[in-house]
Amino acid sequence: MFGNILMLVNADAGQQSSVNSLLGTKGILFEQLGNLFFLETATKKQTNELASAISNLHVNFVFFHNSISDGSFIKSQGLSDATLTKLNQIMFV
Amino acid sequence: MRRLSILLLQVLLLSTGLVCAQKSFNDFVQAYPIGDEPNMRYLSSYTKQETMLFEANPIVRYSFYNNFVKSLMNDSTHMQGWYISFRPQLRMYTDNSKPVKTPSYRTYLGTQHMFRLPNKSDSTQQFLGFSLESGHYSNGQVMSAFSEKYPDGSKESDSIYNTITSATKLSDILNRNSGNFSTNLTELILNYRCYGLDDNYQPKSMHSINLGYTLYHDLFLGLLDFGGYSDQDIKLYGKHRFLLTYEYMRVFEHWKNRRLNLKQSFEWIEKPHASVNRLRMESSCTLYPFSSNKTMGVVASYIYGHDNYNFRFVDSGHQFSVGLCWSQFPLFQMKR
Repeated sequence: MFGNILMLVNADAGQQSSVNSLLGTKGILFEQLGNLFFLETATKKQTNELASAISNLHVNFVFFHNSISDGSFIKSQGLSDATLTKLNQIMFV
Repeated sequence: MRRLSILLLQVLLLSTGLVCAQKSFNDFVQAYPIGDEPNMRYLSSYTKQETMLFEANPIVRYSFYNNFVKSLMNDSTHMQGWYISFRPQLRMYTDNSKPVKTPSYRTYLGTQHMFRLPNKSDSTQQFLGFSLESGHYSNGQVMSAFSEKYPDGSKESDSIYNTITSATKLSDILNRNSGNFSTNLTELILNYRCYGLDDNYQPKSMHSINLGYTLYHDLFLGLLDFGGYSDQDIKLYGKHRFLLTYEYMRVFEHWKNRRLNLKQSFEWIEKPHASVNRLRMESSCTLYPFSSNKTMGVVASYIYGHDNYNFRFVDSGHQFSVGLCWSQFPLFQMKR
């Protein structure tokens, strides 16, 4: 399993919603924080296919794929414990 | 040969000065795609003159530069390694005294390169590569190859060589306890391989072909006059060797993280002494059954032809072996 971070750039509510729907349709485990999506993929092939599908929505975005865990971590402020737990589960477990 | 040697030395010295800073864990992982795997194995005996117990073939490589792992994982088209290599070969026999006889010592300077070929799909990756190594191969012994009484190079030893004809069976007269073997050599191997990849771009199958050529030469690295052979010895060794190898690897679908390797190799010596079997072929099957240690395998082989233990190339016959080996190029992600 792999953790990924998708950041939409200058996206409106409609574009956020279309990304949200796409991830739901594909059965992807994710957590949305505004324009930021933390999402889990099963294989590299699925990751590449998902990135291509997001491209086809014609939104501006940055996609980070975390392949090897080398001591990475997430720090935050203002998030609930439940949200932080879910982010760690998506990115690192 | 001399010009090639000078060029090789210049390139090796230049590459030593181009070592990049170590930035991540992958910089400390050094893989070598071409070449034999270190192993320890039981070997059956070629001749009744001595009975083998086991053989150890450790291989130690210290890289000056090696980016195979990082480059393979990041879609680079050229991957390379530059290194010094030590490849001793030790055999233990059943003799009560000095059971380890005439071990081989091989030291090389070497480089390996792989070039990623254009691929039609994400599920395959093809590479062309080569390995170039040059160094010294000997057994550290000082006595004549055909007498335990006289030192190698002495008049008495030379007179024994003068009695050797094409009808002489070298295997019958070889000094198996202290006979000297020494040469310098350069080996070039060309490699083509094709991987089938799974959905995580890790290999699930592989076809690999090697074509190789080894030249025995008198000067170390083609430049320095030490560690070479005598005129009499090279007529027995043969200067040229040719190698052809095919290897197939398959990861088991239903036995996770385990894989099987099948390998067939042929070696041909050009114009050795008439009593030497020019051909050596080895068929091996390696199973990597340990999910906790994917580099360690169990290997069984059938060998026919000349031996590959320094001067014992004069022996020939059928051999069987079984033992453990350790992969020098384990499976990892081949593209982004």
